[in-house]
Amino acid sequence: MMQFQWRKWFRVVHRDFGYLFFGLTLVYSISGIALNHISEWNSNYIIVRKEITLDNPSRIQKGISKDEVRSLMDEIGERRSYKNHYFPQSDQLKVFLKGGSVVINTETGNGLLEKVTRRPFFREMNYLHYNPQESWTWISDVFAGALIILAITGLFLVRGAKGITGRGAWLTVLGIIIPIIFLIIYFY
Amino acid sequence: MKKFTFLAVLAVLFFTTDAIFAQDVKAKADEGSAVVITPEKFQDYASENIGGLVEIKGMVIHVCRHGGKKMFIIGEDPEMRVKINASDKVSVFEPEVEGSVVVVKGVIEPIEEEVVPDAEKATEDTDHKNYYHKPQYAISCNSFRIVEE
Repeated sequence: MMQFQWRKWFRVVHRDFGYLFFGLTLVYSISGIALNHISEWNSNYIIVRKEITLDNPSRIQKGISKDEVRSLMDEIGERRSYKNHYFPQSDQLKVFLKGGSVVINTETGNGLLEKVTRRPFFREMNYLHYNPQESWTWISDVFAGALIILAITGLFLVRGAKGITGRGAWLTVLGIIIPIIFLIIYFY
Repeated sequence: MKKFTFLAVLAVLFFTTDAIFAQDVKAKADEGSAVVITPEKFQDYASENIGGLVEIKGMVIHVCRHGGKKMFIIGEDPEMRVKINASDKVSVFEPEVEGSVVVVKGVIEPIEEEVVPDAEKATEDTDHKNYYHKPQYAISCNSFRIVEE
């Protein structure tokens, strides 16, 4: 009876899974770095803020009409992008614009215009990383399973001194010890 | 050829699973009859109806800029804002919906104590007792639609 050539099949699986999951690996790794640092750098949106000042702020009173707010927005070049408005506080008017908003102090007339645009490429990557649909959860589960298979098959690709019986063993143990040390320090 | 077939089968599995579950999600989001409620009455109603399905209408005043995982809506009273959380049915809210009036359908859930800012919890004076010093509730969004741009 012919012996099952498991090492050959590990190579085949490792190679083909490597090709097949190349795209998903990049999606999750790039967005993973981006999301790790989301508090330092917003990878989802480009936000541009600009200070503005409106003359004669006393005209901004509760009950101000949409047309009157549109006229205010005309003064900062945003009349056409007006969407809606409300007063979050008695001395504060927030105006929603297409692609942003402006908050105005009704006593001083000073305000902050904020324009928000999607950051291309990263926004899409992050969207996928967040598991946007149940169906995508299945895909990411398959990907996670594939990573396990890639990790296991990867251990046995090389024979000899640089394989899992030699240098590979030390590196594998090191890779396992690093999270264990972290757990001992921070978790237990 | 065998290898190609293997890869092709995997690819087909991906896409069929995707299509089947996309339909399933839509069906689940539409099921059940919701209690229609206003943002002003939401917190009181929520305290005795955790897990209940509600439909609520309000203007979106904020969408989280980091991940779009939550947004806030108000009705007539800007003090009575309601937090809407993304879910596995609606995974993200885009900032473009700020300023739009939306109708949200979703399930009432309590807001975890740890997400209430420490600064707010530490404040015990009467001016601040109205908002964070009692249990707060949010809505896990099953679906939402824009009714006024």
